[in-house]
Amino acid sequence: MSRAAWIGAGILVVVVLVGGGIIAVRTRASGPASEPAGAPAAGGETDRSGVPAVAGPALPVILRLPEFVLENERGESVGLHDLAGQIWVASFIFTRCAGTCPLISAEVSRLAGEVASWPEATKFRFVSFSVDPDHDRPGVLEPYARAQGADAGVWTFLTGTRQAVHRLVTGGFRLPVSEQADPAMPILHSQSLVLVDAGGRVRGVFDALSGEGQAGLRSALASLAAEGPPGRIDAPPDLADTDWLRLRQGAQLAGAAVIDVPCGFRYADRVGASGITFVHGASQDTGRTYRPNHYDHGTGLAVADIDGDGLTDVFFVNQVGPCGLFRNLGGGRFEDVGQDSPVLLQDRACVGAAFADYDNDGDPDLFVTSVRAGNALFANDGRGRFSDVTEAAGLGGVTGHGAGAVFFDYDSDGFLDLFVTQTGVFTEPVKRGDGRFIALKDAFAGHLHPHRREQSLLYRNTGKGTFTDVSGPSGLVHAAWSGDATPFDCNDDGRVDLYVLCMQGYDDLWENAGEGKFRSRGREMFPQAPFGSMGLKVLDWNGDGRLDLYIVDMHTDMMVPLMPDREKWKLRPEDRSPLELLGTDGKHVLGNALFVNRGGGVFEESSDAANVETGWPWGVSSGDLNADGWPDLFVTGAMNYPFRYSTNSVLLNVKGVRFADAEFIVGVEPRKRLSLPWFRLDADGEDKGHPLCKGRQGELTVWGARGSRSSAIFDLDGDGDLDIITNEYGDVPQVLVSDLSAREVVRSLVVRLRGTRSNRDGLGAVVSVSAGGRTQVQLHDGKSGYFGQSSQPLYFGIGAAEAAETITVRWPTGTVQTVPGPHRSGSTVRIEEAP
Amino acid sequence: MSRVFLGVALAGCSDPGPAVPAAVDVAIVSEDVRWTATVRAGGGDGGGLACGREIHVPVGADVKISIESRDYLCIFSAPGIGLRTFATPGIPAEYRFRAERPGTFEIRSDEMCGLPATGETSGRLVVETAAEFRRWERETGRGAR
Repeated sequence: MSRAAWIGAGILVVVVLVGGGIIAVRTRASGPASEPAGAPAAGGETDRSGVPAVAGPALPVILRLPEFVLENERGESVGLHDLAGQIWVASFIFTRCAGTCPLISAEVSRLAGEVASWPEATKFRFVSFSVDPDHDRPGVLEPYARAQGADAGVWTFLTGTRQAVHRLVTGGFRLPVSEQADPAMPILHSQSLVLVDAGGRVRGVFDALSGEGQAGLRSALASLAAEGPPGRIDAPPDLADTDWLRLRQGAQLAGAAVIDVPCGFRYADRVGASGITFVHGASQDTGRTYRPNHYDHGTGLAVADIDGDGLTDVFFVNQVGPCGLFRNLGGGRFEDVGQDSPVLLQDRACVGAAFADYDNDGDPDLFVTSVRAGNALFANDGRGRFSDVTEAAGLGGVTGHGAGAVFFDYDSDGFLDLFVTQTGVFTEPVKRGDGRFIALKDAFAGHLHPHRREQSLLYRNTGKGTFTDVSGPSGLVHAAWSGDATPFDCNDDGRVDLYVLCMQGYDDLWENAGEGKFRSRGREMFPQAPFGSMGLKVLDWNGDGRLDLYIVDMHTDMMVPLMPDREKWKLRPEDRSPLELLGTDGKHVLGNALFVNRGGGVFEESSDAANVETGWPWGVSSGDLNADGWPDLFVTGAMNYPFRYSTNSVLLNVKGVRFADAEFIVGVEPRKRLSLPWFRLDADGEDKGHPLCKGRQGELTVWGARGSRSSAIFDLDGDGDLDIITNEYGDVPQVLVSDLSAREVVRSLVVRLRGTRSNRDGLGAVVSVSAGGRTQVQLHDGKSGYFGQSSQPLYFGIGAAEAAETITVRWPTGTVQTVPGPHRSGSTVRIEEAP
Repeated sequence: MSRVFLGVALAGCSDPGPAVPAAVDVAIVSEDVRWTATVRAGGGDGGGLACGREIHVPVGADVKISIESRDYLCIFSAPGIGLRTFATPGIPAEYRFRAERPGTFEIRSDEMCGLPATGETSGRLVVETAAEFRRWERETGRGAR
């Protein structure tokens, strides 16, 4: 019998009426869960310090809690992994409860007071989950905690969205909670206290209000305390070393006063409050059966208003486990609407996602790529419900290693075409236990084996709901190790070209020659390009009205061990890999590249002068984070297990002259916790031969570094400033909420386009906003982060100006449309393409 | 035991002296994140002397190091002799140098983007006099029996 089934059979739920009219559901364990071996009966023996005597076998492991992140009484995100290493007691209460809850909290208070005198006192924590989270916001929980006499360092109170909390209680703790219409008895919940060990495993369930349960819990606490810490391995061993991080933080903060860019705002990770419960799953081949391979490139995310309510929703791509679709409820809160949706795609390792309105019906549709298991197109019914139209649209039958996807209208017929990159063969056609294809041991030598190349795909939209593969006829025959691509008119000829990255070789620029034809001009136009390109973003960073190209390079950073003090530097030429491994002539930029557009198809590499080198980068998002009228950059950077932690980068644009490092200044770094449990090993069982089990026994948890992959920048809480959401590898997302609008008046505009002759999204349009004597230019391409294309309006910070004088749109058809102002700060300007 | 005595006796009777082998071939094979080497001095088609991860060569010899990986992509480096190359499955690597001066040089193999190096990924190259090299050959060969 499985543990889950065993628990289900072992817990007896009894409904009891208690004073005050509140109904509580009393959970009484009838099996091993309630009678932990060795637990003395009520009033059992204690030693002189009041610690119950410990005897008998160890407490059973009842179940393992899933990762969760909620919000504590101080508004901070707190999750299961933050409690790792502590023995904690969970209780379930709500502040309006006049029945059992005061008794439960009184018992927790009493218990906390007692164990404070135990020798192992520092091992214990208490966590009270509010089952009335919509009411029990931090502002309510904080005074409630004070009233209980809770020591904030020992006893925390957690809340979140109703969906997130109730799912955790029922699906994680396997305890009942429900609501009913009776205002006097609004919530039914358990009065149990749940004992959780330092490894996040439930070891006992006890009735908070019976003498037997109270004594049993005390005995079990003593028993767990005597167990000793769980087996933990840090990989690398210096994972907890943060000296370098503190040094960098100190240096950056010390320079904050002189960087000449507005930076008086902060980000805080509000994932616990957001209701976003998505947890990314990493391939086993990046953990327990580690081998260097392209699974570690992770997955993207994309945002769009899927249901037309004016709020931007989020789709998270997953590698192992279901993808996540979260609807924005406003105010920074989301709900999971992916249940039973075909977009979850949990049968495959997904990679990239793109939202775009391919059928011009006014709503964003969704395209998702995967490894060997086919890509998928989902049509939106306008209310955020998706149906799989892959086969009907002619996009089925692809079994390559799909990566990025980008919609653009290359033939200017008013319908969005689709370009899909394929990385190349990095797996065997055999699956592991996690349901994912086994990675090749020499995956990163794939570019040296021509037979492992896979050709990327250019699909032409027929305008009738179907696509035709025109890769061959168009001449865009691209077979490199590509992950991402971006369309833009790089030579000012009015036709949209396509820059395609290569993560193991030279990028290429596919020039649109018109009449449906492309030709390769990458080496000619960009003779020196990065070797290991991962992410890219087109933006006018220096305000000259031309679109520049920023490319970040991760694989070059892997040619030698990247030490923290080298992250802001290019690779030393002598450290570059030999040509026989590169498989190229070696004329590469040895790191990130910033190609500044000088006009007429001439680009000048200026990354060092602009200070845009970063460590281990994956993807780039751009947005005016400080609303000063200059586009800033957010670059994810990390490697996870078995590498050290690395930071994400915030690069604030200093008036188009250079970028200033600001991730510490604005609170994106350092994170509260830098590592997480990466995988587990059974040193006595099936993992006995694993190298990390040598000389060890029992269950081991291997901890690895946290790390982001993709990101999107948008105003998620509607307060006028730009926030950031990430997709983390093997972890929960970050929901980085800006407090800029709370600190100062934010002056900005939002521009929404609607094409009529062009594609309805207006993708490919170039929008110019003139405000305060300056003109800003943005390309409406939807590109953000890594492996992601979003459907969202354009955001323009306008600095000190109160309004924009004019907005000019150059539509993909070539038509230029000027919309005179004034366009007041705070307004959303909707521009429909003139007929 | 008698074969060992015989071998020693024969070696003693036909002492090759300090003559330097003109060429030494070193073959390194990496598999499952560990590597081993064989050394063959003076040409010929023999299988070479299996020497684990301690490689000896005589001063003055032209040394050819062939590196093969059977699974992972590995970076082999020995800064003291200018070696830095990648062992890629299916694509053997080769490095040549003249052993100009005596010394001991670390050879290290790192799995590219891989797990941290272990004791089985590092070894050493000893450049020594011809006489020392011959002695090492004899002793290592004897150990191999």
